[in-house]
Amino acid sequence: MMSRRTSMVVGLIVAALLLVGLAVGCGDDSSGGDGYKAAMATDVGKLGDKSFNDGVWAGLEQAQTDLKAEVSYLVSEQQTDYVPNLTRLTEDGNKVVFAVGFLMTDALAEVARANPDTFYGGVDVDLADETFTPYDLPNVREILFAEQQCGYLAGLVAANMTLTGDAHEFLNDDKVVGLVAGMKIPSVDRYIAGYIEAVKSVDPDIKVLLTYTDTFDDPSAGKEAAIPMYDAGADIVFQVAGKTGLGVFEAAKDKGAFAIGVDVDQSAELPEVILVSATKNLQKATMQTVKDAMDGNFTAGNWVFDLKNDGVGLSSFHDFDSIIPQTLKDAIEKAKADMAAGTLEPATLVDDTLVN
Amino acid sequence: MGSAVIVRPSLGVRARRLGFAIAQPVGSVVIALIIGAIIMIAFGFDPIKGYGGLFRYAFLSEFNITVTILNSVPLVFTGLAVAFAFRCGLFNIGAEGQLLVGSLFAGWLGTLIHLPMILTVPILLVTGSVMGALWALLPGVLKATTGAHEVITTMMMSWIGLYLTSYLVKNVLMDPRSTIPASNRITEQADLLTLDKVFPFLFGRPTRLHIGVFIAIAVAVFIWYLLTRTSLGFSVRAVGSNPFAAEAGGVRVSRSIVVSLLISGALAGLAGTVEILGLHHRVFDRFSAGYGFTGITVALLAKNHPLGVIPAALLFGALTNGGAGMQLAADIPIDIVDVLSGVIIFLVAAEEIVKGFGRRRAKRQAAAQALALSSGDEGAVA
Repeated sequence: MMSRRTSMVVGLIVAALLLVGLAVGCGDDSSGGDGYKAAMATDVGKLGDKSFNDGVWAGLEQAQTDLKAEVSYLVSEQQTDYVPNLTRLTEDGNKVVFAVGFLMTDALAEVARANPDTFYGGVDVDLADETFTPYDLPNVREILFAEQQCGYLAGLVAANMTLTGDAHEFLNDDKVVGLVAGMKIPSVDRYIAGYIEAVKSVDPDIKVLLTYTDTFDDPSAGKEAAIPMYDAGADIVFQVAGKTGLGVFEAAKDKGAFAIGVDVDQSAELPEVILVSATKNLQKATMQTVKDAMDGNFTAGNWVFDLKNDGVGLSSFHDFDSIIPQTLKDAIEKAKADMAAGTLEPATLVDDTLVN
Repeated sequence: MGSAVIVRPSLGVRARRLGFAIAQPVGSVVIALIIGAIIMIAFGFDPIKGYGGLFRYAFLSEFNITVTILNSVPLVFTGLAVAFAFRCGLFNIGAEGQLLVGSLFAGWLGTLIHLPMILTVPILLVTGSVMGALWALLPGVLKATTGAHEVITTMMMSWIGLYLTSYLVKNVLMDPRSTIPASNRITEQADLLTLDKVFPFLFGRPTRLHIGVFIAIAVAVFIWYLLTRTSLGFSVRAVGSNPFAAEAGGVRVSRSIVVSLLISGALAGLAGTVEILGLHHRVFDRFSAGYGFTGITVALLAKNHPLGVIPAALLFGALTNGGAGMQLAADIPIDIVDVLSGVIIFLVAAEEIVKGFGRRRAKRQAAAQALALSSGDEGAVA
């Protein structure tokens, strides 16, 4: 009863199934190498965020070059992917697995408990129990950064440049700077607290405009938040919003004004508007963690990367180096030295009364 | 119309209908896989390795099956939500918002109450469904009374729900001391039991599979029963196939519209609540990976059949899960997996393409029959 066409279709499906079966049977894991394996699972921000996930990946690539480690990554598309992806990377034979982003906190704790023989690096992860009491796991390094320090440096740049209205056509005479943030979480607030403290230390009359966009992956929200700031006279806006911040650069370009990048040197994104970037040395933190694990020196607990260990900093000014006054450059160096020495400790919590 | 005699088609006819109803979505998936292979080749990836990875990570090994099933649980609920409304001729594209609102309030309540598990779990599941249903109430009433199109109203309500829940999570539910943008942990009494605790003899070690899997299946069967074996289901379907005829036949159309959107919203709310109680144990901001929207595709692929929703949801659960396999086994970027599901959605939505093949075949068969008749062979009676 089967028509010729039907039997052809059935034949095709059977052939396709066989092919898949064959592929599965032959699908050899190419994990035969003797390389030390390290990998990362991204949060839902994914690779290509030009900041967070990309920074960790750069560290893994460096580990591949310098330490001959075998590196790989898995992109998470949804929050339910976190546990499976961390588990898979563990079962795939990786000795060190990085969980990138605070959203993975619960997942990382769960997987790390189940796999005590694998080392984990949690970037921006700070383990705490239900009563918010911090705790540590013996195989988890919680990689944290002193964002208030590089935020402070960014604030110095913003405040001093907004006061020198004639150094560049993008600058005006209004004493206003802006800040577009992602979600209100501790690491973001550390950036903000440092930034505001520095601005007010330069001139308490400078207004700081602050908007939380409540998202890290929506450039249009970043643009929407930045445009009114530029319209209100801000000539420099600092973005602490991951992928959302890419919209701030767009707004700066439209309005003919400056923006300050975050996490990694973002200058390449839009060199004509990005004055400088406040950087977290994600690459170094990642590379260092792989190296420690390889050498048998892995230590768990909170690892804070700050100015003392070159964990945070300020990028170069690139093309704008010539418009930066020497006094500002000196002030930056002095602040760096003071913070490294511990004599200058910027706040880590945002003081709402300082925001306009 | 209005005749009391219902003629059931013969078994053979029904079997053939079922066969075609299954063949069409399966055909869509197969064509999508072939197109996906062409895309992979075009971008320089090995499709055999890619699909091998996809298949292996979606189905082979207990762990992988677990993840596939867990991925598909919320999709069963949202698929049912969309399918149920469809059967009443309503396109509920706002399931995402109903899901978020339902699960937010269920989770919120879960952080506040301290009751034994036997009470906590049902209370929270009911809360989630009721809040989801309430979020669909306004579109239902508007449709029934003013005829306002539900595509617009459910979507608008969905956005309101999304931003409302987002605001509540970050400004009310989130403890300022917390390092993650989420509520506190929901009481452990609300955790859906994992299957190793329910069936210790079946599972040697802890599993992440929870009883939400059974709730999903039970709800699918219940919805199937409701639609096909009750007078409420009959009214809903009557309105869906022809509201004017239904009205003439004595069905209260406006009531059916409101009721089916309420049920649809309740199913969506349940989707998020089960996900939160089973996996996250906290209310995260926007934790749903578009389950409400994927539910539309699931319902389409299932041809709005409540039981068909289960395999359709499994397919999409497997696709998201197998995506990791494609990345690991063949270095294929996750975007290609998204392209693949996009192609499936396209082919399912544009089912006329697949139907077109069937129609051409039918035409040719009819021509062949006519030829056979005219040449005096045995007469084929259709």
